[in-house]
Amino acid sequence: MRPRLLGLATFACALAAVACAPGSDADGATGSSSGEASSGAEATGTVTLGFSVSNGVRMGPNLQDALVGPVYGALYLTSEVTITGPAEGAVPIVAIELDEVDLSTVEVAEVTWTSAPLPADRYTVLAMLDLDGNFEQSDELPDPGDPVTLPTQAFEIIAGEDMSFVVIFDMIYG
Amino acid sequence: MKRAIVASIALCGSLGCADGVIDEPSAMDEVIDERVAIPADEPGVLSFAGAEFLVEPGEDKVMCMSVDYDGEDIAYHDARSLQGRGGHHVVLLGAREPQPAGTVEDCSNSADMAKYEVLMIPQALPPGYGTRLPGGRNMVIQSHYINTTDRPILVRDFVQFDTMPMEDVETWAAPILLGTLDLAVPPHQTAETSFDCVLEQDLELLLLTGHMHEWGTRFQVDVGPSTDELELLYLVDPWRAEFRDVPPVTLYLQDPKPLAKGTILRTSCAWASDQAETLVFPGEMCITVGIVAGPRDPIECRVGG
Repeated sequence: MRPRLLGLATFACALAAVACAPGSDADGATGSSSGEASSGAEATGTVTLGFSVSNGVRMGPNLQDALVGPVYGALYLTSEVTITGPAEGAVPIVAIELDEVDLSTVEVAEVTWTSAPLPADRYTVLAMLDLDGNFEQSDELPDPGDPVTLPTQAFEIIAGEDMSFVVIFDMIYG
Repeated sequence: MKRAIVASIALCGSLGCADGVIDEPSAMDEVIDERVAIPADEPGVLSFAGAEFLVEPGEDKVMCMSVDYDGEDIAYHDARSLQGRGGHHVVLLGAREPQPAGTVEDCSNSADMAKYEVLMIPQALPPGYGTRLPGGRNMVIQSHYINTTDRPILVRDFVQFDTMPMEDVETWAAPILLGTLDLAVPPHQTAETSFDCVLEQDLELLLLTGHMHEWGTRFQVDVGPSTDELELLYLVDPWRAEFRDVPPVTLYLQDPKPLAKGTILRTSCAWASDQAETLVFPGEMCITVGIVAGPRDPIECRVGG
């Protein structure tokens, strides 16, 4: 997979960018796991991600398409994510890619994504919902109208447990 | 072109250290050094260093260091935040209560934000756009860190501006801030407020976001030529506590949104308090923040007080 960037603007109060490093793998269809986790003797656990949108996105004036499309993103160590996105040199732990996530009529999509075993730690999800299906054509970046996450979507992986976390797309890009 | 300025006076050792700043070298063995390297001196890049301080394991800390910009007025087209791991944000703010350069204060209390004003929004502007950084300005570098490791971290941030000659600016861009001081959230109750600001000149909207604190539940901005013709412009529902520092942002960089003189911008906020005391400004806030094209100086509309 070639490097990808999901740009995402914020203030601060900031902006975030997701950089999936070359070689980070993405599959992660429903119920499957994806990516490589450093294993060895480390205590590991897994996470199952669900997907949702805030009411602000659903009702927002900049939403242009039905809330259904592929999800692209990555997990990062939370310690390597700032409010403007991954810190310089941060490497995505695992990429996330789902063919179709449908949030048009439900609060939480039926499709989920489950990780391979990952070292116990705190992780942040940076992701986008590609509503207009032009991820490849837009340099693997979100474009105006795509729901994106803010770098606040963090969860803990606990050794020996399968955690659940609902990723919320809080912002319409652009 | 201006040369880079590195505010090396930020380094604690030359200043006498405020609370939270390294003063026990013997404890340095276990400290993780997350200080950003001092940027190389580059033509056209203006750099300001933040305070150097320790963040203990599990600590959520915001430190502010006063800096001065003694150069001439200059324009910039990009502003960047440089932080180490655990960094949440670093920004350059205008100081309402100027302190001597190098003064370091713990500004972790959100109420401290009343002492500052928006000066820098870390956002690259389209070609030809520039924001003015006024000479002689008293400013503050605000650094926020959350240490999720089990060892102390030593930090020092930088903010950088990619500058451009004033004469090369084709379109000026400036921060806009619309806020109210008239808010009160009674103990253990919900409350709402809204206020209108009327634009006094034509401009174009480039970026828009909202600002509330931990007890915000909903934030909305409507826009229109009259109070009877308002349309939804920006909505965060629900507002969550973490949006205090990382709010959803709407960008209009590719397609600036024109707003004519006389346009009404209505900001509406809702809160739910679990506190024993009434929440008022600056403990809570209801502020619309943005970048607009057209004006050379920041636009501010403050209601009430």
